[in-house]
Amino acid sequence: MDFDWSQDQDELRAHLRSIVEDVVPPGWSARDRDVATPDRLELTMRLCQRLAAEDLWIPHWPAAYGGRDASPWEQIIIGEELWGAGEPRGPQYMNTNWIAPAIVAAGTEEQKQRLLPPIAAGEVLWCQGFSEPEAGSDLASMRMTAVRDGDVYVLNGQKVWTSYAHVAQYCFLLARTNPEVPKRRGISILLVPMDLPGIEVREIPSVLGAHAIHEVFFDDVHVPAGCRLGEENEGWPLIRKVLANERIGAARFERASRVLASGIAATDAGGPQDRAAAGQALAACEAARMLAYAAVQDRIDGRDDTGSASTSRVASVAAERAAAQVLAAEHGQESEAAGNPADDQFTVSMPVSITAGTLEVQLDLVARLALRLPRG
Amino acid sequence: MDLRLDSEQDSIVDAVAALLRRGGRPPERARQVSGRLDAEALRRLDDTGFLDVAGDGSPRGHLTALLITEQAARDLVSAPVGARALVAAYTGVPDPPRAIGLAFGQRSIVRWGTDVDAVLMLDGAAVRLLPAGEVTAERVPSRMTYPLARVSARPGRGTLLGDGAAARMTRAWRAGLAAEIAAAMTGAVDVARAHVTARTQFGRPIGSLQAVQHRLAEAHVQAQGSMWLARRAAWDLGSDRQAALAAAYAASAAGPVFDAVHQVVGAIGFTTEFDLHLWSLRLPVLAAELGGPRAHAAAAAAAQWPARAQGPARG
Repeated sequence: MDFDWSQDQDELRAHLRSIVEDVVPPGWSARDRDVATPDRLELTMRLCQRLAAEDLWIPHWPAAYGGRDASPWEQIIIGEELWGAGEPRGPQYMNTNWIAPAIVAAGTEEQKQRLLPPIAAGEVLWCQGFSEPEAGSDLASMRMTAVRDGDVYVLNGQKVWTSYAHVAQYCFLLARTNPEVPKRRGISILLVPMDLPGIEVREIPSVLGAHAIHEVFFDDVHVPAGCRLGEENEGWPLIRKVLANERIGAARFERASRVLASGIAATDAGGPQDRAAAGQALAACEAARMLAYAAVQDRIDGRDDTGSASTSRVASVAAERAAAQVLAAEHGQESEAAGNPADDQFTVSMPVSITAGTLEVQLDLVARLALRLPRG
Repeated sequence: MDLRLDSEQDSIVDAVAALLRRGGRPPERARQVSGRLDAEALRRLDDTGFLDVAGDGSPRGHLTALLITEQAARDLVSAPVGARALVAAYTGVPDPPRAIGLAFGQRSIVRWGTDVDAVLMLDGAAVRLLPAGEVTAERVPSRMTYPLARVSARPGRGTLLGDGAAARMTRAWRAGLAAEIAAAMTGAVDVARAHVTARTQFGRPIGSLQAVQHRLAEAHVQAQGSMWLARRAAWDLGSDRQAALAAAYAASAAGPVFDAVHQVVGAIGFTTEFDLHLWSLRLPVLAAELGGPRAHAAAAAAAQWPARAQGPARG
């Protein structure tokens, strides 16, 4: 057991900070990663391409696909530095963290040749088509149908809460290919070009900000069968693995900790009025960090049944909320003004217990995997 | 960064557990020595050198001392293992006696206070080592599972330790405390987990109910968070911030974890025939030690926002 970073890892961190400083303007917030405007989108593209040019974009990918098999520690350092800066990779953090790894794991050679190079170059945007109006936490109950007709699938249905759908070129989509079998056995993954006829994206007005969420309608969309990832009806096991990666990839604690530190330093007093509460919020951030590291270690060791990814997510929710409460208390009424650090943290922390699996789903997983409690 | 125990750490922890369990399974042993210091367990650890592992002053040595502290607390050892292995060693106590009580101020409640060989007293900016004969120790009747005593010493008594001892002692005490809290939480969650898995109501194990599962899952998260922050703090024992964060998190989570484990086991948790209290009743004592969660958290804030540290504080 050793809690030091190697010299290479320290240098990596410093290098990432210098790139962020170079490309990302001061005041970039986690809310900007929703790329509501063309200039924000352009900045995320520029950053990803710069990372690609500096070999910092896909280091954890296998060497055969342009990566260098870097350790998950390197991946979390990148996650910390970029999430910490408000995730200026924008929508593309998903590409590198879990969409591409899923394609590497289950894609055909043709799919890898076609889809991975644009991701590796940092020039393509994906969205994720998981949730539906009737399938939220119970994701496997999705109703979106994909009916095979010769060499195409015909898609009909609706996805919802789809971040980045307004700009994405592809959707990593779950659809039901066999309605006759138990729900988890009839799901397939389709990698769908968003410019196919019959796809309509609608922004859902939200209190989170412009373009935070969308719904996407599929009306007789013809998707080539070659867009299916993995075997037909075998999408669910792959999805479970993918979701574990997603949970680990977002270093929320780092951003919460930075916003807390700078947000309190920015008050008139330059420090907290309520030191105990501020210290507790910092402690919550650091606990979430250590639990994220424990989850990374489990991934390195090939242990995917310890519940540590969910344990880490539960702690991250607590950290985000504690930071929001302390910032609001320290900034008082000023925290209501748009642009105040407390308002920013309030908005960012609002959905953290919902997105990427609700807090309740995470607690279910901790109970089942870490504590081995009996199923309900 | 590598969070696995290496083979040496693994074998030390295993050896400590085996040594401690020679005296009987932890709950039985804890009942046998209830209300007093387990001098036999401490002697065995001392004889095998496990109380001196922090000796070389390296991060690794400190971490090993913390891991031993953690294991001893997990096994309900009724003795101040961390006080000697981690706190006295790191504070620089020359020729430390075997059983050391840790005191916060000239008059405070000290675990095993009537049974220790000496008291290491953190008294403002000073640290003094006081042989048992130089302090007044009165047993405090308490339902908590540690034997407690009110310990006081007259100013100027004992051996004054050198510059920086107070800061060093505070950091090591906080790290060790966080490890003891984490271990007590883990032990308590384990007992509760086994109970709700076996206990049937409404025709099903109560551990299959989501309300029960979620409370225990949250307690598990807090126990794990406390454990990792404690280990991290031991590795970086020169950091006021890390030590304060570890103690702040663990001490403030102690209450919620206590509530959760007792809630899910129900009334049997109040009986001394059931094992839960052996771990859970340690939590309030540990949470209150060294100023308690508010003091630890305020110290973490002072390390993070030093500009404010001189100013008045409500926290």
